[in-house]
Amino acid sequence: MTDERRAGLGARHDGAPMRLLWAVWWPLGLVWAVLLALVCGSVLVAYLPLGIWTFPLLVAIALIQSGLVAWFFMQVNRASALNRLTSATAFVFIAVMFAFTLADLFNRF
Amino acid sequence: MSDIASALREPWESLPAQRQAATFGIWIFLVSEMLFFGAIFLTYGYVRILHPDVYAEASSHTDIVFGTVNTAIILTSSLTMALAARAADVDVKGVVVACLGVTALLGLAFLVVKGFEYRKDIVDHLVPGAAFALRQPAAQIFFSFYWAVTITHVVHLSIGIVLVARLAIEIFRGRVAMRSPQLEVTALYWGLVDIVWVILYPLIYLNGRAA
Repeated sequence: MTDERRAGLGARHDGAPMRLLWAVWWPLGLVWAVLLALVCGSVLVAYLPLGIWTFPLLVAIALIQSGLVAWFFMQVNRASALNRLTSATAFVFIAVMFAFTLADLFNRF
Repeated sequence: MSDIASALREPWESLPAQRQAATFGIWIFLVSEMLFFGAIFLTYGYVRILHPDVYAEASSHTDIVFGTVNTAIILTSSLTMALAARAADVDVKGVVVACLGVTALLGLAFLVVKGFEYRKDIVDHLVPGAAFALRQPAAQIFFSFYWAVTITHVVHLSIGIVLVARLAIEIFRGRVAMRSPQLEVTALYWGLVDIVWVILYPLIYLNGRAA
C-alpha cells in the first residue's frame, strides 16, 4: 500500500472493477457521441447554401471537435498545470504564425 | 515485483514524477508537431484565399464518403484509446489489452479505406502532373496539398498503430506494466493524430460542396 500511496493513485477498487470502469467510461462515450454528431453537423453545413459562412463554420466545428478530443480523450482536463501550459503554447505560436502571414497577405493588394 | 515497481524506471523515485516527466516530454513533441501541421494548414489557407473558387471546385472532386467514414473510424479509435487509458487506471488488464487491440484494428481500417481512396484518386487522374484531370493550375496545388498532407498523416498513423499494437502485446505478456507512462504517452500521440485528421477533414472534403 505504501507504494500505491507514493504513486498517488488514490483508493483502489474493492472487488467491483467493472462497475468502476463504467463510471469512468460513460462520460467518454458521451463525448464520442457528440463528436460523431458534430461530423454529421459539418456534413450538413457543407451542403447548405450558407455562402461565405460555410467555411468559417466548418473550421469552427473542427476546432470544437479538436478541443473535445484534447480535453477529454487526451485528458487535458486531468493534466498537470505544466502540461496544460505546454499544450497551450502551441496555440500561441500557431496564432502568431497565422497572424503575421495573413496580415501580409491581406495588405498586399 | 509489483506493477508499480516494474513500471518505475531510473532515475525517478516515484511513479508520479516519472509520469510527469514522460507526459511533459511527449507534450513538447506534440507541440512541435502541431506547429509543423499548423504551417501546412497555413499554406492551405494562404492558397485558398488567393484561389477560393478553384479550391472549392478541386475539393468537390475528393470522395466525401471515404473521408467521412475515415473520420468516424479515427474518432472511434481515439475513444477506444482513451478507454484503454482509463481501464489501466482501474486496473483491468484484459480490458486494457482489448481496447488497445481494437484501437490498432481501427487504425488499420483507416489505412485500408485510405488505400481504396488513393486507388480511386489515381484512376481519376487526381495526381498532379501531365495527366492531371482538372484544368486550373491552382487545382494542382490543392491536390499537391492533399497528397502531401494525407501521406504525412498516414505515416504518423502507421507509427501509432505499431506503438499501440506493441503496447497491447507487451502488456498482455506482462513485460510492460499497465501503470507504465508508456500507455499515457501513446494515448497522447494517438490523440494528436486524430486531431490532425479532424482538422483536415473539412479542408479536404467539405469545402465547396454547396455549389
